[in-house]
Amino acid sequence: MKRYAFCFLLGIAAALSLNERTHLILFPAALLAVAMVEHRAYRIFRHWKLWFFFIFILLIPVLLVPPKDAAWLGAAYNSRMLRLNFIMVERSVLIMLSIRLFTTHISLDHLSHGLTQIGLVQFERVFRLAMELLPQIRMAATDTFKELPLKTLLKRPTLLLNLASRLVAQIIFQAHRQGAVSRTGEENNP
Amino acid sequence: MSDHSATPQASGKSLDHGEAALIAVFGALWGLMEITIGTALKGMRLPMSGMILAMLAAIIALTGYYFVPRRGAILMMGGVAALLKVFSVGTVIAGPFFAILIEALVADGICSLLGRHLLAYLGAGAAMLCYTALHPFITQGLLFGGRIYEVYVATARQVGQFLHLESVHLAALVGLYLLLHLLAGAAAGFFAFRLARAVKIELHKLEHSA
Repeated sequence: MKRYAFCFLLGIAAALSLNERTHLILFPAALLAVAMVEHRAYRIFRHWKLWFFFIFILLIPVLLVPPKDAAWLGAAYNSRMLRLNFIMVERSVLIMLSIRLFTTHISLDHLSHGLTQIGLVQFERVFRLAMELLPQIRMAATDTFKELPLKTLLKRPTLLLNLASRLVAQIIFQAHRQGAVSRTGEENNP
Repeated sequence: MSDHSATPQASGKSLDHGEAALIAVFGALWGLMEITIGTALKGMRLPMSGMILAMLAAIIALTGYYFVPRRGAILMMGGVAALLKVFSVGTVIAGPFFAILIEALVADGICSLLGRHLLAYLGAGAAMLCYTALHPFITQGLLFGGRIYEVYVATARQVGQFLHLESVHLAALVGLYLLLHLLAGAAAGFFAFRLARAVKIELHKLEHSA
């Protein structure tokens, strides 16, 4: 785990050090390092929205914002903005890869423990309880949604308040009962 | 409009079992909503689906706070919801994880400051929704660096010139977008306040019938 945390910090440091002088060496080197440590991190590039955003950032402002001091295939563009936007995209790629590299190796337990350490002292206990209660809450919510009278709801919006309050009250009531049972269990079996 | 029967705001004391169970319930409910309704809304590609999701999150978190009015309660609910959300897709996605945590932090801060009062609910709901509107820009600022804002401003100016719009008009559009979120958030806060009171009455009925 520490190894990946270290790699994450290195990745962030590399991303922050990118500039017009360093990016030609630093960026390919960082990509190679990530591929060697965790090639699954590259799965982030499967999302088409990401590519769409990169193309948008690299093309639209460059073609729109003056001074348009260069031309390619007859299209005038802002060459300085293109260079700077390219570095910006490289920086975001490195940060996203570093985050993915780190989070690929995080488990639910690691995260819950981490949240406990940052000051949410009793978080771990609450989280365990939430996991215990989840199936029960899911069932109660599903039952309520199944019985949801959509047509009547549109005519009488106050009905939503009644339905929601009944659902929440039911869940709280059951949780309290279950909580009391587990507490008795803890007291009996310390 | 404050509830005078409320227990005073606790902060340093450790949670008792009932409080922990309530935080767990509302955190799980929030997480479940993010997984089910969130995925459905995303699948439908509805405009403003993020706003609808944030409204539901605000309603759940603020209703929960009514029953556990202590500092850190909403943050813990957010923590539970964030963990459930990110692991529902099989791996950790940093964006939604931090979005939920920061939303919870914002609401927790306002509620801790103002207490269990209608004003706190309106403010916390509005702040949560406003953060939702700003979250993509904050994330992009962190990922791409501050220069992304310069690019946005320069591009917006050019598009504005092309469409014969002044900077004031563009600012008004952004303001309108934020105002919409602010109003939606306040409405969610108001609904949460009413819902919490209705839940309290329902709970009394259930306790009497048990």
